[in-house]
Amino acid sequence: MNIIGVGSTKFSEHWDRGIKELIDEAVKNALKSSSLDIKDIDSLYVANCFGNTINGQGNINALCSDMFGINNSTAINGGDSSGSQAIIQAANSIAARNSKIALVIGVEKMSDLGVNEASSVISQVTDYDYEASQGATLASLYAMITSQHMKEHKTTLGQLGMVSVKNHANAANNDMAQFKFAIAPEDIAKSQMVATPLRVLHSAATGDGCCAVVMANDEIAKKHKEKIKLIGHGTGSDFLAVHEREDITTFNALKYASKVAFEKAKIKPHNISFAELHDVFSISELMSIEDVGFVKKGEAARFVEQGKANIDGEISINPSGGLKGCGHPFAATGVRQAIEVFYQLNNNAGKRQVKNAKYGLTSTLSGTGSTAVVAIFSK
Amino acid sequence: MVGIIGYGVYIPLYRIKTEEIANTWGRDVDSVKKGLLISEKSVPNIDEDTVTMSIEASLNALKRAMIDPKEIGAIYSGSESPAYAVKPNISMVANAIGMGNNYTGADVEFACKAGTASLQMVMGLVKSNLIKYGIAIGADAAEYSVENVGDQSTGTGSAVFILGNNKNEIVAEIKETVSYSSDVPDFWRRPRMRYPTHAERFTGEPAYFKHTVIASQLLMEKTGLKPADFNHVVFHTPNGKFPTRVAKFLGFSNEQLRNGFVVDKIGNTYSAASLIGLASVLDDANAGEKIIVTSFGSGAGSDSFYIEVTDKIESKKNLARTTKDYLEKKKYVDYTTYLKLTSRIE
Amino acid sequence: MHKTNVVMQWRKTRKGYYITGSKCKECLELFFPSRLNCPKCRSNELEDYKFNGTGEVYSYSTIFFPLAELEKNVPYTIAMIKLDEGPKMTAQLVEYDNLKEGMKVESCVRKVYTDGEGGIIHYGIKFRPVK
Repeated sequence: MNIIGVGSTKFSEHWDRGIKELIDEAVKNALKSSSLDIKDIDSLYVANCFGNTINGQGNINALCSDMFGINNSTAINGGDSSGSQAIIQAANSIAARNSKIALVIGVEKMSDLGVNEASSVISQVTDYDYEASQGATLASLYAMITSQHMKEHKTTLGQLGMVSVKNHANAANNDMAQFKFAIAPEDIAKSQMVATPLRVLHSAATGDGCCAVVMANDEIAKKHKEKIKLIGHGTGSDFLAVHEREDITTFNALKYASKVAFEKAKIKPHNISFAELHDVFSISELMSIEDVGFVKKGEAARFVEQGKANIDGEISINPSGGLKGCGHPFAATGVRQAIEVFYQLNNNAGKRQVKNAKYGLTSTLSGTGSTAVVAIFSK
Repeated sequence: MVGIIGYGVYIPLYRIKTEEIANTWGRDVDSVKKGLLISEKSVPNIDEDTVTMSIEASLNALKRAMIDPKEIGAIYSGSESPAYAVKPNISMVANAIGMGNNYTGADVEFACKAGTASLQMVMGLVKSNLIKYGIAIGADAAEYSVENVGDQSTGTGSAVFILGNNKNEIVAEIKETVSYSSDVPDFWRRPRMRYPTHAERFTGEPAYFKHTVIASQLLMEKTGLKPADFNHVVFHTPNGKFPTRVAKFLGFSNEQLRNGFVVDKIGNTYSAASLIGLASVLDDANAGEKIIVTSFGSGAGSDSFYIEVTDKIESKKNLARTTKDYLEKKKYVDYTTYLKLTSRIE
Repeated sequence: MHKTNVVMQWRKTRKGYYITGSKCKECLELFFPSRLNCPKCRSNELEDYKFNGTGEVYSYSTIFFPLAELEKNVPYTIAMIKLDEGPKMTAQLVEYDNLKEGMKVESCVRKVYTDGEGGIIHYGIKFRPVK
């Protein structure tokens, strides 16, 4: 199972474009990148979270079939990790020989809503009955997780800020990023408080974007110069509500997904050259570094602080700029991560290039970590 | 026989001082304080209403009554500020305290005497043995338009009484009740208006004083009791002045008025006013003491009650938070916060 | 939040405004909220369990960017409360001074939100400091 071409829109507030226009651009770019025609695609896997609620359009897979004339299409809606889930679905279909060349699309258009309305819609990925309807926002849940992580593992606000600084610095070299500029550590404490102790600059912003990747079986991939191979993946789950978890500073879903992915890939965490992790809030990048298995629980803050997660560090974390630098149109994110892996492993990441990149890992989390999807790629 | 087997109150945490409101509107603070005899009033939190207050007051009453809520056969709630104009407060309260489904009840309206009207309704059902236990609630989060001096005295609170007919459970027997009513347009609110209208001085003599005096006199006539026979008297408290004046007129002393007099600290809690006063008296009452309670509701009418405390009161008083507990637990807010909490900022 | 969920509110509150969870008859663990299947031992033998309503603050966050329905309540504080019996729950915290983790709290019924001026009122559980 391979990715043989990728395409994307910029992540931004695309006031002048709706879902169809975003999909059109990303798919055009992906086909160009894989030197294929739309007629070569035999199946569609479309990830989208809020088409129903925000855009009034459900059945986004049918929308795509309508646009491209492809019969076999499937919709994936599973929170923030939808994009990754769609890649897994396409891979499984190829492995089962039900598809030869699959097109995976992750699309989200969120900028049509105001901030507070968006907060209410986004709260759908938390526990509706016992978190959202009690007044909790996604940010406030991550904020409590942050406080606990600071208490139990002595992570500091300063260290949290370094995650954002690093990711912005990386995004400054990424043309498709929504926030293509560096920030200074002092900027963080000056940004507005969202939910104590998390501020605006600790939080990924939502926006609009579409990413597409073309996936193919080994036989077809052989003919393509630029490609990456999916060598292992895993999906894990945890309690929907944060309060039901014994240890709220651990993403159990991610620990499980990671374990399965590494077993399938037959490599270990220290073999990974770079990883695209889910930094919807700075704390989730730190916890992901721990729960994927790069460092022990509680050590991620120091890891980042010591520069080990930089592009030239031990394991580059979010060389693309991550969710913070690129922006987080929910269902597009998982596919965007795979696109970064494609560039990195094919030596095409320009100023973001991780040297001697051999294995890349992507990981997304839905909501506060109720679903985790991990994928490992090689050249 | 019918009497109180459990009682409870709820007063919100926040208070605003009389001068805080007066200063905003350029009123002379001393005149306002002297005229109203109110130094501060209770303010609901933004997430409180007559339902939430009644739930807590009812839970306190249940703690004292020590009965299974499923045995309560009726619940009546009197308020000028129910949560819904249509959908009774009582359904949420009954649900919250575990009353099951075998009960009757309704939301009652008669301006500030809706609470005592509810009490009389429950008395009837209990005394006639139609039900074993019944709950009567008086609750209000009273409001006046902000520029009106009436906003100086509107308070917020709830009082709940559980009645029964078993001699062994009654902590205070309601021995008699007499009412006096007539058609007087002294204070009203049309359905689509947020704030009521007050007929100013007309609400005094022809309304409050006439009905309070006559109802109290009729009660004393019926029972053959004189003012001096009572240990405690409770009147409706639109402010601190009116009850003090009517007490004097009828021949009651400030001593008798004292235990039930809380208006100076929480303002006029409308349908809850005389009932909170009664609860305050019971908190410190002794067996054998006689209490007279006369409410007043604009429109207009007064309900007067003769209540005698039994020896069962002693063991029940401290089973739940007392009126004093709620009076003492307080936090002051400024005028802007007061406007925010009472949803006046549009 | 999801609008016009009158029936959802009714389903949620028909058992009363209590903190009701489950007790597993097999492994005796307590859970909030109630479940049909035990997360510990996977038994299907669970019964309703009514929590006392007291506990302590486990973690909290004061929200400045609210849900649309709670714009008039800003800033408000959400917390994870560790109930005396063990399980945690998420609820708003009100009327506190010097909020600290470990602070002892008790439950109260308050308005959580309304479906606008003409919509239904959603009452629910919040917590406040014990006197």
